[in-house]
Amino acid sequence: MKPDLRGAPASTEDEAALLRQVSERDRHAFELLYRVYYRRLTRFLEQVTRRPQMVEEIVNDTLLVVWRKAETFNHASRVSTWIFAIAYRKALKAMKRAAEPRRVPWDGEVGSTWGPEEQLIEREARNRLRRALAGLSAEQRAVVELTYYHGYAYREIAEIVGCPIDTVKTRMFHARRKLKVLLNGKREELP
Amino acid sequence: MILRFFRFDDPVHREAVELLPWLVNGTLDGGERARVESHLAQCAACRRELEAARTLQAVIASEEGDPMVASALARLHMQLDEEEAGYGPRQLMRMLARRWRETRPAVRRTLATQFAIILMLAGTLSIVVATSEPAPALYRTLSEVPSAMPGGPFIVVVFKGEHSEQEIRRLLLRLHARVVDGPSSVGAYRLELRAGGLQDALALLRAEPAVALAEPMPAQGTRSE
Repeated sequence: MKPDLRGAPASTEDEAALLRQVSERDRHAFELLYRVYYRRLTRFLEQVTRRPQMVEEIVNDTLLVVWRKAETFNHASRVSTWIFAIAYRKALKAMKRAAEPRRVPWDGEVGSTWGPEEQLIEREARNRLRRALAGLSAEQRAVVELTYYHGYAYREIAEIVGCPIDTVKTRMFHARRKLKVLLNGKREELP
Repeated sequence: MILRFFRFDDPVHREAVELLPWLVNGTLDGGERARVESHLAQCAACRRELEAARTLQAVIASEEGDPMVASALARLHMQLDEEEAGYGPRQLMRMLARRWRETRPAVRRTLATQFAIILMLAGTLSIVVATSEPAPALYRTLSEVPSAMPGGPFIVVVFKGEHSEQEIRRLLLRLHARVVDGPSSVGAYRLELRAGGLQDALALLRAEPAVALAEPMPAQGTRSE
């Protein structure tokens, strides 16, 4: 069964109906949609940009585009895919404006390899994972985040980030390999 | 520790390794899921990868921020209010500039061509209008005296309803006047005096029981007394 990772209170159909109302300039519907997406987009953009101070602005810019362009949504894909795609493009633009993606320096600490879950959810392990995620590129973080937190299929992720399906798989593969290297604190022998 | 992550020579293994994250998030379709699960049953390396992917998901999914949705929403509402309330020239120009930047180059070229054609047509139209004679009005009021109308002076008269055509004819003959327009919707006629003074004619008309109203009216663009 598909886990409910997205925290979305509205179904796909509900969201489509909400967007139709938004296209008719219904402020109340817009507010509902905003509340549905604020947390999801904030989380996604924090992970992709690693710049909490710019996240709210990107979220609002994204939903402003939704308000202005709701009537252009063609209902061929899910509303959430469309909105996340807007957010992703906005994030990349904002990061470009604010210079290169900031990388949190990895301290090279040698830790244990990934082990049982109980070990990893300890505070230190979380911190190390957070730092390891910061060591990924924005594009890699977006794929990891959209998969593990927001629960998107790789085809939808390809739509959101605007690249071929194989690129999504490759980004995820490289992200996992890099995370493994960063968490282990040493380069592994790679094929 | 040396970990072989990938065996490129085995396409089934490769597919399984690539798809594990989406097996974990439950979005693989039936066929993909069956292939990956079948491979997992016989590949210890992939089972370890699966465990790692589940752990990563658990950690990522448990991280929660503390978004301030209400304040952010309030700021966006203010922005929308400003946009909707005050579309002054500056905001309009800013909006147009933004839309223009967001438009694809092909569409921009089409719009620019259309705009040029519209300007050309507007220019042609203004030249045609400036050089042509004004069209005659489809209607005019009794108080309006066309500048081209000769003769005069003119008087607007409203007769009382109970008087006969014969009495009115006799009055007009005494005045040396003729009806040049009317009746209007309120029963007014325009009279042209062919002889005699305007003031005398007005005095005569106003003294007549058959006349409800008699007023001079401007002739040839000028107002007479």
